[in-house]
Amino acid sequence: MARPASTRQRDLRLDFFRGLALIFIFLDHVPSNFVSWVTIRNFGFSDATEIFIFISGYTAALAYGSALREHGFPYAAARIMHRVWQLYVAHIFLFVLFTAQIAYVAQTFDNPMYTEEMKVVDFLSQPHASLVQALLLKFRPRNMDILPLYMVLLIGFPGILWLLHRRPWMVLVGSAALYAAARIFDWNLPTYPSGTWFFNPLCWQFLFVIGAFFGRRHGAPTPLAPNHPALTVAAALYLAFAFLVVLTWHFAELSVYLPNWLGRLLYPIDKTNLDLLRLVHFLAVGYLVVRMVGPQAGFLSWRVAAPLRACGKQSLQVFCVGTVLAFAGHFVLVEIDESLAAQLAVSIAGAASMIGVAYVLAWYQAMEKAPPRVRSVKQPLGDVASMGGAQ
Amino acid sequence: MRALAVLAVVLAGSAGAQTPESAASCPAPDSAVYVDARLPSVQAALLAGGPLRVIVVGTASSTAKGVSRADRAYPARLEQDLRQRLAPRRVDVANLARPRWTAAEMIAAFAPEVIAEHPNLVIWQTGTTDAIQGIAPDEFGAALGSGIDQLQQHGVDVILMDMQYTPVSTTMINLAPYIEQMQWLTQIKDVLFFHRYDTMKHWVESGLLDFAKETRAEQLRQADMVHGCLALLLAEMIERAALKADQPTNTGAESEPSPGSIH
Repeated sequence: MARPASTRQRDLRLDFFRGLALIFIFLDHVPSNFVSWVTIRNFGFSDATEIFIFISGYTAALAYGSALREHGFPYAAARIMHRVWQLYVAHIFLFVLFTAQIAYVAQTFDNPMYTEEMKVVDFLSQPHASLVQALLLKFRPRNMDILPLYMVLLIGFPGILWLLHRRPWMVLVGSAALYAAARIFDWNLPTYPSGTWFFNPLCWQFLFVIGAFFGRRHGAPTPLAPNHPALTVAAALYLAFAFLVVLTWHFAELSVYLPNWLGRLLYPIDKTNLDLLRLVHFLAVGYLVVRMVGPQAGFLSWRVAAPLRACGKQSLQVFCVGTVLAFAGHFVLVEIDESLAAQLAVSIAGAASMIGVAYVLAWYQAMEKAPPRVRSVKQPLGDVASMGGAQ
Repeated sequence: MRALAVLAVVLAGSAGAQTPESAASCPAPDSAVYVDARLPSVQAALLAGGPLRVIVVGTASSTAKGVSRADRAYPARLEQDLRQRLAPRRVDVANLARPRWTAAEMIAAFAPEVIAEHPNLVIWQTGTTDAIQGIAPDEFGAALGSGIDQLQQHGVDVILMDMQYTPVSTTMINLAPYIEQMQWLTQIKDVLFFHRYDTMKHWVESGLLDFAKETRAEQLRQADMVHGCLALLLAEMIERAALKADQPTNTGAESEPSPGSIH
């Protein structure tokens, strides 16, 4: 059981990698942005979504776990629900912004060659239905899938947290069983006007729970993952294999080297239902990172890493800002200039804005918490509170 | 293989279709029009001296929607182009494109409307409607896989073609998972993949195509250019694949027709 004292020492990795995932998600969300080549999805099966969901589960267990120990279940549950409410408001705000943008584009873009594609803005002609469905989280545009997933995961979290502190393995096994059942029986939630959730919560909950499972033991003297050279080699080999497979998607010349039987075995790699290949890939990445990067590893406190850590600390706000910036960036690319130089400029400006917002928020929170007149006092809360973020 | 070599010489002699679009004005990324599978039925038809029957199955972007005249849509242009390249063989390109057609709906039309016509090649343009309707990507992939199997079982060659690149729809929908499904299927099922999305994106990025063009006349001219280039690139892909020898990894050994250098 993690003692409150052990969480005092900040695990810099959580902030750093969550910040990195947020920047990656932004870059990936600007459609057809060549800078997104640097993100993790082009080097293996899993992508920034896995990092984000895993760390969110981890920090949720950390933050609400201490609330549970110190103030009991009702308070912990209330804090989680408060967080869900914040996410909901943020999501609806993003939806309104997005709708304004798409309405503008639909007004100005008129090319008969794309009549069919413009069907995607049909929802503008039935606001009564679209709005209600948006409020029910059943209607949402591209790139607005992650927050609803996160909300559903958190809604189920009080019960998970409670049981996690009593029967951690039971939670893990139950979560795995639900994951397997949802994959086998094709369970998913519906979206409007047709289709199903792009991130199936019934499958992605498994990764969130894995994160929480590890988060509960944060700072424990004996790490859960055994430090075994064989595991390290296996993980590295798997990552190398995944990298080679992914290469064949991007370079047609290489696809002859992927035997058909192997392709049949691997494909399709199902993101919606968190394919096992993706899950294992993320776990391999996570394992190697944990092995190679200690909680206080040197580079994490370098000055160049600070902006990413700042983003990771303000994850919800930075995530929302990133979503807005991805819309805005895409808008600029479509309406003004779509050259590679413009893509680079949009990517840099967007990432810089996210970092800027993170710093302003950190400064503002520090000012609010600082006792009057004593402004140099450091933010008193450790990562426990700020990463759960339910402030 | 000698027969193939003879065919290559014949085709090389008749190449150079006199269309407004030339190989130089239709650049495409190499991997977007990469030939990594054969078209055995097309090859057999050509070796037999024709006729070659092609059917385009697709959605609105395969119709004349947006171009200046009905015969400027890429299926019609492809027919003209192939007839010039493959003369004196008979070439027929039928167009079975319908707006808002999902992959599953197209497959339902395969038996009565496609296979019954005994085509050598089906150019299957799909994905747009499925993405708009939010059909689960794996469901789309499963449908696509069964459709390819059905065509191949009847000895029909397949070229898969993805969505057209449009800045607007990419705001609303995420096409990547659907294109990924197509990518995987073409890898494991030995069919060709014409990356229309990447090709058009390349044109936009290089300034060849500009969506800021506001007047209807400019839009029509651009649409004509797009369809003309798609037809040309498809014709080149078909020609190269038809000349591809049996050995799958025998790159460079088989003779390439003269317009092979698209880039």
